[in-house]
Amino acid sequence: MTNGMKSGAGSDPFSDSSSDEEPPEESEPQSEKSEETAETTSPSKADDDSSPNKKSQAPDSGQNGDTLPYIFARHSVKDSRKMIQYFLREDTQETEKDARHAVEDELGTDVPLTDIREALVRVGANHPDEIADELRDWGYRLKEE
Amino acid sequence: MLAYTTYSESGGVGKTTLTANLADAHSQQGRDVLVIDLDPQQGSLSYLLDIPTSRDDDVADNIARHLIDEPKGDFNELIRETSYGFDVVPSHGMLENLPQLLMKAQNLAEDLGEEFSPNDRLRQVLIDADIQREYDTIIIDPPASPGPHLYNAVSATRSLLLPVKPTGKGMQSIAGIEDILTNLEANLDIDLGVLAVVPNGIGSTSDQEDYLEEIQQLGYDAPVTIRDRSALFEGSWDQRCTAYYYYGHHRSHKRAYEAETLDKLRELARHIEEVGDQ
Repeated sequence: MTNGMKSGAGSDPFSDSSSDEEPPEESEPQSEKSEETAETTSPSKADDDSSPNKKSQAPDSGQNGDTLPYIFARHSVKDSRKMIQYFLREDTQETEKDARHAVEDELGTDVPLTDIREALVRVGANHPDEIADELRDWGYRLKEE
Repeated sequence: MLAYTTYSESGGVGKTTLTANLADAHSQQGRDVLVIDLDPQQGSLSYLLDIPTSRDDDVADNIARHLIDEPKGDFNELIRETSYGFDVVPSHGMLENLPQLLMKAQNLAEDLGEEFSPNDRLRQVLIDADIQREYDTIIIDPPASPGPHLYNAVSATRSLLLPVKPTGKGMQSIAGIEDILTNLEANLDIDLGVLAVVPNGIGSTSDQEDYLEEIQQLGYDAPVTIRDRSALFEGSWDQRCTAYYYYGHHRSHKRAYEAETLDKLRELARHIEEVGDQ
């Protein structure tokens, strides 16, 4: 404990109108709480169970060795990004919004839409089969033998 | 009676936001809460809670008048109800001149051979108004800079809640707080306690375990940490309401992590009640 200052309550200001009062009974120092708070607050940086796309994603997706992770290295969300126009159908925009909420809930923090979009592209890029399936649904024809 | 002052040496750590939401949380837990806004700045608690103040009307009664013993009415008449179940004594522009006003009042009192402790006025006012009969919880939100606002708040509550930003600078300010508080204890001749340190606005960069450890090494308790919830808290400032109200009334998409933060604030309130009730 530090010089004079203690963890816990101070003396009761309203104990009596006289201002000198005995120190309060007991203020148990509480220091066992750190696991509890720590556990709820540090989201893991990597997504642990998406192993299939791990390798291809590693080089420049977020973290390069000992440099800062991408979102901490930039000054603003637009840094080192080029604007690309997107044309999306309305229901896709809804899907995007749902994905954003789900991701935000997962990470426990707000995520700029720009980051969500880039991540969607990167993750999608690692799943060509599923992308092809999606496009087939839109009418793209099976590759002929 | 649970009484505490929220104090931070630096601005921007969410002191006022925390005060408003703890008041809301205590009141949700069935307590009778009075918050006293001693911060004369625009953007103070009174602003956040959308409490109409007669800021520039010096003739109207206000808390500064009571502190210098020149009240225009009953202290209880200063108290405003909020929509959140707790009550507030709003700020007033006159508080800006509190140091000079108190000095004048002290000189006058001395000339008249009366006793006047400029740093213990608020406690006297609260006792005279029998506030502890009406309320079981008092939270005082003073401005960040040391001065009679802070001294009066501290003297009236004796217990402190310290929000900190867990940055290098934030940790330095904890160390600085030590000195300030030790001085306060010596100068005001009172025992102070720190109910909790609240790391507020933790981003994913912060190595918060280190911070928590440092806080604990200083002998303090940090029962919860609040993540960076700027969207939630800024939204509540935009709408001028507590974050609980904002979440309940203005958030169409309920975000689980925001609900979690509000739960944490309730947990913090409960913790403070346990440690601070006397």
